[in-house]
Amino acid sequence: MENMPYIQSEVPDNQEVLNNKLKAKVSYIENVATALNQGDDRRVYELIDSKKYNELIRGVEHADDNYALSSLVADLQPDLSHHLGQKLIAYLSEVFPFFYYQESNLGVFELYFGNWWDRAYFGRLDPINVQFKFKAEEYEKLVESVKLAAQGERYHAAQIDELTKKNEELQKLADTQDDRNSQRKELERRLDELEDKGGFFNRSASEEEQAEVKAQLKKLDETDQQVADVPNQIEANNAKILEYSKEDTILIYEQRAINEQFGSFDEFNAKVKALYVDYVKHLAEQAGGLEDA
Amino acid sequence: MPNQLQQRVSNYVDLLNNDIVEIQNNLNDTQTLAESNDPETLHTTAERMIQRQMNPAWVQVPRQYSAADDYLIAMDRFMQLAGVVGYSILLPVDTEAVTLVMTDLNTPAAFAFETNNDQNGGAFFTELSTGERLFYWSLERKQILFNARGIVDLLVDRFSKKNVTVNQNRVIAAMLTEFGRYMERVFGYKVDFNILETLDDYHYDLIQHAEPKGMLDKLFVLSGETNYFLQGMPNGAAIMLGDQTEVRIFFINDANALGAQRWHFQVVDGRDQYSWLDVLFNYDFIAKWYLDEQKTMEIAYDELVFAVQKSRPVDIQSIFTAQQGLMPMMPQDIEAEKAKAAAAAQAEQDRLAQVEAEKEAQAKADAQAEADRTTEADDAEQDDADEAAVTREVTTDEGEFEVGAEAQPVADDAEEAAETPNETKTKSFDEEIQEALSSSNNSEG
Repeated sequence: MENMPYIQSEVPDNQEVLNNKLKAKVSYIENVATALNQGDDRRVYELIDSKKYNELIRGVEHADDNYALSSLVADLQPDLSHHLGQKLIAYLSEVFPFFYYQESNLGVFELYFGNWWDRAYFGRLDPINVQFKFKAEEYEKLVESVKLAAQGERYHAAQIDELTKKNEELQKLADTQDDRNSQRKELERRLDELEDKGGFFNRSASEEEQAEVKAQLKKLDETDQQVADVPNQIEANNAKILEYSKEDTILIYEQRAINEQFGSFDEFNAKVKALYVDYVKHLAEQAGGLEDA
Repeated sequence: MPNQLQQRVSNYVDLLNNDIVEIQNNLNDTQTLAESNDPETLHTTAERMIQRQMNPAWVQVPRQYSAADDYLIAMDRFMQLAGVVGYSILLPVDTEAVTLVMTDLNTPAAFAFETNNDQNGGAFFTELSTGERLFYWSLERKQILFNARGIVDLLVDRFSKKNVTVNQNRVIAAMLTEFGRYMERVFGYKVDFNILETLDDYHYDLIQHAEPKGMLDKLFVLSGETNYFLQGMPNGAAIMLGDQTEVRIFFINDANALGAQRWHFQVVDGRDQYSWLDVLFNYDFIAKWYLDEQKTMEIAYDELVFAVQKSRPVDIQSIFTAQQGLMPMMPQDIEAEKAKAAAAAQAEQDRLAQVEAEKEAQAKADAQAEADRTTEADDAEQDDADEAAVTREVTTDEGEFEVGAEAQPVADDAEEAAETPNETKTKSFDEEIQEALSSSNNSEG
């Protein structure tokens, strides 16, 4: 029975292929390790995203990706980011001298705009992809303030004007307290007078006038009550004005820094977009050109 | 055995003698204070003088220097020895009261001492027109305490609004600082320089009146309009100014301080050159900020000694217009001199009128000659004006002091009228006659 050749399980030998695949992985890891040890960051960028590298640096159209391999180091991203961040930040301090970084966690670089008082938190730096990830809110504010600056205006000018006017009105209200006090005295005197000489015959006329005077007094009460809160309101408005002025000052500093370095906001944006290409080419040039790749 | 009259006379003589001896001692000390060049002698003499209660009952001295004056005389002597410049002392002829004025200042201001009359003694160096007390001086305790608030109120707030220049303010600050440094160096004084301190590593102590709200934000916004910008630093902020000067504003955690934060200022320039006061002089936006924030916090000064910040302001106009001179004069002498001057002025005017008349007659008589001389006369008039000025200096300017036009001897209108213009005109006419007589050799020569 045992030699009956009915059905046989046929398992083709795939050892070779498997070995090759494993070898590829091993050699990928080895390459990454070598590049890291030699401080060859350009090679690291090539290895961790060959599609991006080939398309942007070599100019290859529709290059194949190497995600299968690069996923091998995916869980090392914080370490890689930390490693790549060192050289990248040294480079950026020349090209974007107004950006400052704080590594809040391994490989996580918080980005600050400027070294001035209360500088804005402006997003993060992503060393693995060589790009800034600006905080949308801050970036939009900057874009808007650049537009306004072209018209000679400040970002918060309208709000500050409004608050200033409001404060002036409040102050006026407080300043006219003496007038209201004497008005009150006059009304109270009038009221006493009316009550005294109400008499029998012209009672209704007097009552009408009394009601009128009382209404005026009530109005004064309301205004006085308002005035009692004026100092608080003015102080609150001043605090807001200060906050707005501070933000305007920060935006002016940001624009000034950009203009001093790049000449214009558009040029700054272009440089931000081209960062990967510029940086990797810069690394290649430092290592003696692109051809060794 | 002496009889009663003898006894009585003897007692009378003793009483007078006691006072005379006391007065004599004080005069000797006054002379020493004015003449000695030995710092120790000056100091002990001044100390003795301000402690002496000069109140003679039997011998009256119509005029004498007060203790406050003694302080200023002593300060002047020490500053003379220290080589301090930029100030003058006013010397009115009709009183022994002395005041210090700055030689070059765009606003009237006069400084003098005001004695502190409680048991602590000492005196306040005060600007008279504002009553601002700039420092406290105790000779007995060898102590000088500057008053940051008074100095800021006077120099930074008031003077800068009165067109006083940064340089003029600096001269005043330098005078105060150098005086303090001299007393510290020579006599081992304890000096609280506070706002005048220039050491780089000095942390200015502050009096914190309230918790700071947006204090640094405000400075940041103000700096936004300048070329300087405020930077964050741990627990505070710093700003790089010109001339390698950096100002730091920061706090130290301190549970005992208001809001658990003890704030300090620091001025670093690498040479111990600038004080916080210099920063306020040189940077308007910081001065503006500091003046606004003083209600929140200010440079610390001795709050007990300066519990009363100001003396009562006095009108200083009369100090400047009083006749000045080296020779003290009694009121009747001053009156007599004024009368003499008025009479002289009247005589001048009479003479002038007469000369005018003669001139007219001359002009009518000789129109041709007059026309020839016109150009020469103009030149001559210029020379005469100079000569008149010289003459006046010799006759009326007894003093050697230089305190600007306001302090020049100006007694009254009559004398003033007699001084320049008429005199000039008259003399020039004299000269014109002279010239006419003696040919025309000085016009072309």
